[in-house]
Amino acid sequence: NASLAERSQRIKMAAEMGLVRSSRGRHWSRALGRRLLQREGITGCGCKNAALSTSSNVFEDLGVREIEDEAAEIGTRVRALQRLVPGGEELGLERLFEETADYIEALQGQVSAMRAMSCLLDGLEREKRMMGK
Amino acid sequence: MNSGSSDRSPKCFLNQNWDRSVDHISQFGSALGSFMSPQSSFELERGLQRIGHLSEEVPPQSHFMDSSGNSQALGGLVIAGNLALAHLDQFPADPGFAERAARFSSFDGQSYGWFSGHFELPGSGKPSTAAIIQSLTASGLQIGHLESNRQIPVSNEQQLKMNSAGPAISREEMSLSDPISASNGKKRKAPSKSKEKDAASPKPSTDPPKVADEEDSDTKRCRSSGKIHEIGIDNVKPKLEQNDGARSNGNAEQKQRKAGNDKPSEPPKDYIHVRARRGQATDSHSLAERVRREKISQRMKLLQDLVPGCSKVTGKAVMLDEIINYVQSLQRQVEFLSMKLATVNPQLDFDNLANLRAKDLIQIGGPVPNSAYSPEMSMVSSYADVPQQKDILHSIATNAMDFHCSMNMLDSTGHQDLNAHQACLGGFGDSSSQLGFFWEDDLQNIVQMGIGQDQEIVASSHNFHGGTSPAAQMKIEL
Repeated sequence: NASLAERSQRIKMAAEMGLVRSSRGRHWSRALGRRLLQREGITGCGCKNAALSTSSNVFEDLGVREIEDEAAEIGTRVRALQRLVPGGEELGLERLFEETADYIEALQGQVSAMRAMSCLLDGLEREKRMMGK
Repeated sequence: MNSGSSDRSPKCFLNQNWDRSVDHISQFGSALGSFMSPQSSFELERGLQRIGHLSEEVPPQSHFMDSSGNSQALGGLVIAGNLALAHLDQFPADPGFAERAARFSSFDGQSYGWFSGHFELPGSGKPSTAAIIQSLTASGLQIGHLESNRQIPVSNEQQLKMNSAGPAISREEMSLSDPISASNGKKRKAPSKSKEKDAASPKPSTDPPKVADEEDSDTKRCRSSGKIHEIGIDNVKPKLEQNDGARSNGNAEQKQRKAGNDKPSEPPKDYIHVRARRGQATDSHSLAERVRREKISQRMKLLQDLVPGCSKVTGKAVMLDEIINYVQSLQRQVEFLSMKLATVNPQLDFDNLANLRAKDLIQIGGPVPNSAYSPEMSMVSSYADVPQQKDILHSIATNAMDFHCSMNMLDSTGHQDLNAHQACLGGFGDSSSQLGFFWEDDLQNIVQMGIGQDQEIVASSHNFHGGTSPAAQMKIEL
């Protein structure tokens, strides 16, 4: 039997694949799919989507004309968000928020599905043990 | 899938087309398989294998990719759908599932209508099974549709994928903008009345063009995704004084229609006509920026609704903080839950992750909006009295897709994975037949619950916790 770490790694990968499949066509979903394939060592088909337009000035978009510090703060946060959302680094602010919203929804679904799965499996294991006795 | 038993069917595009559509069916079938009990899913698998054989019988000696070839493949697909239907008789009429079924194969809306008209459903009047078949055929149609655009006989799947990328991209762009425009529907800017004409334009005239405007701006959004729209501001400056009076009328009108958006814009043809605010710059750049900022603040509001506990927060930085924290916590939860799943069930494993092909993960088909989850969720939450049941129903609903990669019975790499699958399924309590049977029955009951039979809730809660399988329960007919 494989080790716990390996299995949990594979389960996580399966969960991410589930994420990807259930949200096809989304930018983050494609980026995540690419990332997963890289990890698996499978070469992608090479037909990536044309890079979307990158918004250069984040501060402008937010309409922040005031203090430098505030703008910088927001900038760092936006960059952090870009790193979190798969494929976010190439996105402008508007698209980034769009993708984030969709990504959050998908993650929420994934988490509750996995939670339910573990609950189900747990219950079944217990039943199995009880029946065994 | 096309087991090389006969070489009647020529190695040509038609085969590839069929391969792909059958593969689609197999994925779907395996998703269904994880939904249903292990035994009936095996039945389904065998049925689908028969479909694979059928593909060689249906198309007569046609060699080339043309529309007739496609329709033959589709005809075979229709028959396949019927076969699949035969095994799906016991399928619960789950309204949520119809949505998921439709979602699973990216839909081509127009062909759907044609097919539903021409379809004879053998003996089952359930709307969900209709949807299943339609989605199966629609996926076949989509493939056919994509290929007929190209008129190039392709010899390998790689090319198939490449070719399908083109039209699919445009469709994807289209549908991407749809959820956005749906959310923006309420904020649709009222067409400016007196921009081009005199100030006394009547009110009803704005309504018909409004409808057309929505469609126009939809297409426009597609064309210029992410870029700034061309802004035609003709005669704004001289008319600014004239428009004041008209603008107040316009404002009053807008307030009737939507929350006070004080910058109406009418997008006829290629232009967004943006009315300048009083005392603000009217050059195209700043107006474009303002449009952009409006969109961004809209998106932020959307995110605010998604992230719990964010509604009271004001200030962009803090909200961004919250969003980041939330995304991080969700990702951490996924990781933690996968570890928990690994511990809870020592046999659970996914051996065949590497078998997934590139096209499965980077498919550029029509996007699937996550809002399709909400019908399930609302259905589930209405039965939230017993949280455990809600969990299970939800898990069945969403895991049909999430984990189907491991349950892929019809993996084209052959049957060596079957043992792994069975081991995996063993983890689902199938090791002793009696236990598996018990599980089936409860599944059936719980799924029935989703259709709205409240009286079953009490019964099934007893069943699940009691661990007995009384004869009164429905058994899945095989």
